[in-house]
Amino acid sequence: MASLPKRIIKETERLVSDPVPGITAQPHEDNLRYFQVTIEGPQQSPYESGVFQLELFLPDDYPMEAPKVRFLTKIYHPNIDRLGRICLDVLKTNWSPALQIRTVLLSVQALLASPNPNDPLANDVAEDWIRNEDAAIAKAREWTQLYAK
Amino acid sequence: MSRLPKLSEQIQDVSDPRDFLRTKLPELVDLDTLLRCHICKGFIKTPVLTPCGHTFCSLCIREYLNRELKCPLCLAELRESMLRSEFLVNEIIASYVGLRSKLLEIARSGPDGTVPHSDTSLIEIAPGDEGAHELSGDDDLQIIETRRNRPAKRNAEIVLMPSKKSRRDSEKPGISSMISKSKSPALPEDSAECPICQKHFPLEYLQRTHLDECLTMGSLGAAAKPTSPPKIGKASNETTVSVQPAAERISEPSVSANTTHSNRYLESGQKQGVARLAKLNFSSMSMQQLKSKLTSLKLSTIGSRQQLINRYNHYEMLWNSNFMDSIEPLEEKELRRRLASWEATHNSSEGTLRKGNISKLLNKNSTTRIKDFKTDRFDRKGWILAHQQEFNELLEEARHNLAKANKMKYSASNQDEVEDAEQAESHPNSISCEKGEIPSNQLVVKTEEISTSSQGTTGV
Repeated sequence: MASLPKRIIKETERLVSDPVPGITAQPHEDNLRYFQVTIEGPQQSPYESGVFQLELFLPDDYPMEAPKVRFLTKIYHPNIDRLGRICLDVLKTNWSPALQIRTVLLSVQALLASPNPNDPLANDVAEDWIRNEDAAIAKAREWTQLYAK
Repeated sequence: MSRLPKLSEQIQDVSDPRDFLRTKLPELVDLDTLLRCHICKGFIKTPVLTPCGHTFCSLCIREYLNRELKCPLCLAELRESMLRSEFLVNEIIASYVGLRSKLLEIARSGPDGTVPHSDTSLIEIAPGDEGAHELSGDDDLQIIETRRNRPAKRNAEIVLMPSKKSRRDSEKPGISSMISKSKSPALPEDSAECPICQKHFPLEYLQRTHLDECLTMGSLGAAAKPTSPPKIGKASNETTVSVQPAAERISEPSVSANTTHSNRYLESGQKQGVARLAKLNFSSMSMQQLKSKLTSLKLSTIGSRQQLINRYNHYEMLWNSNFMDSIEPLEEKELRRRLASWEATHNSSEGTLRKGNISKLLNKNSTTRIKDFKTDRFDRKGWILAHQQEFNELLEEARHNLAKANKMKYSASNQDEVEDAEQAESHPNSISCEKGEIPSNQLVVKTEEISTSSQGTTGV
């Protein structure tokens, strides 16, 4: 493995020493490109009071390529599928090397606050969401209680 | 935690704008941030300007433009040919970087002055000189001024003021002495340091007359007292001379470096000798042509076609960044050395970096090929045919696992790899959002294999 670029070291240092409120990211002991992340569910969302585990991996070509982020905690959300994969523009087409781990995780947190069933990743969830939003939100809340504690 | 010492060691030599946060000059955080590249987060090396007004390291942005043709900051359309080098920014940054540790030290430990911008602590002015400086509210200005103050104070003869304003000033001897101390240093754009006597003169004067004079006098062993350049106010000459001795001792070490930056900026933009390396249309080139191209650049011709292409592409980037953007281009030899060190980590022929069948193949084919993987133009059929056997093995294994662990559905444990494979198989529709891209669950290095298997499934 090539040596760790300074940018990653710098970001890591910053994430650990000056974390974003509601978000933690710890690099793995064996692989400094692999982070264990927790995100608190945003207030006034169905995910409020939940703490979600994620994993984040910085590919060799980072920052030219987006980091890979995935939910480990089960979550009921139209843009996050059962494998925890996230449908988020900045992780795909709108990635820019001027973004960083911090901003990506904030975007993920924002996605929790504003689910978008019109661009779904988990089709079944999105259908529920469109058909009966209240019930879907109630289910999301229930899952948060069940899995994200 | 075995990782911590290692990481903290590495952190030692990484500087961060927030170093200034708890000093007496927290405003420097902003300046320090501005001088950094948004791609590598280091101080901008060989800055280039985009048409949309953003500045990046030449290499960083060129590398990114090999992938996406847009500005990383505003996403505006951008092509490599649109980049323009910024010599001034280059020198400002180089000068700031040279100054930074000192600045940090002073900002951390200076006397507990009540003045928020303690100018004295910042610039180490000669005794009796303080108060002459007008505090500028803008930090950026202040720093640049600071930098330029040094040569001025040390060099009494600096009095030549290139700008109209200062020339006007020097005609009024009454205030010119004050002004020459506080203002002139900020404007030495046209002045340069004599390499022999290290005093400052207007560039033109230096080149035409002073150098000869100085050389002659040096060889005669006389105390170099060259004739004053034209347009020097007498009064200012006297005052500055009287300040000279003290100031000279104090700011000696960094001065020559600082003036070099102004010099380099003034002399920049003259080289036209080296031609830009063109982008090649590899698809229409035979292996033979490719090799002869590389040979003409004195590059190695060993390796697969793809490796040769990568080699040329990376070298082209290094070359253009060096000869088109850099103020002080390196020699070709050095470029080749850098290419070699890049190849060692990014273009290796054998899968030395990772284990696993597929990742070995991927390594062999290197980055551009992996990138193709994600576009719609990727030759999926060809890929599937070429790796049929691996896919089948993976499918077999996945089915086996599926049968074995049918009841064990999703859990947040480490079995993800296995599960991913199952899920990708049994729910091929679940990647609808990604439109056939590689699923984003490539989190663990190992999972490359899985993602390929899901490619196989969706493609068939």
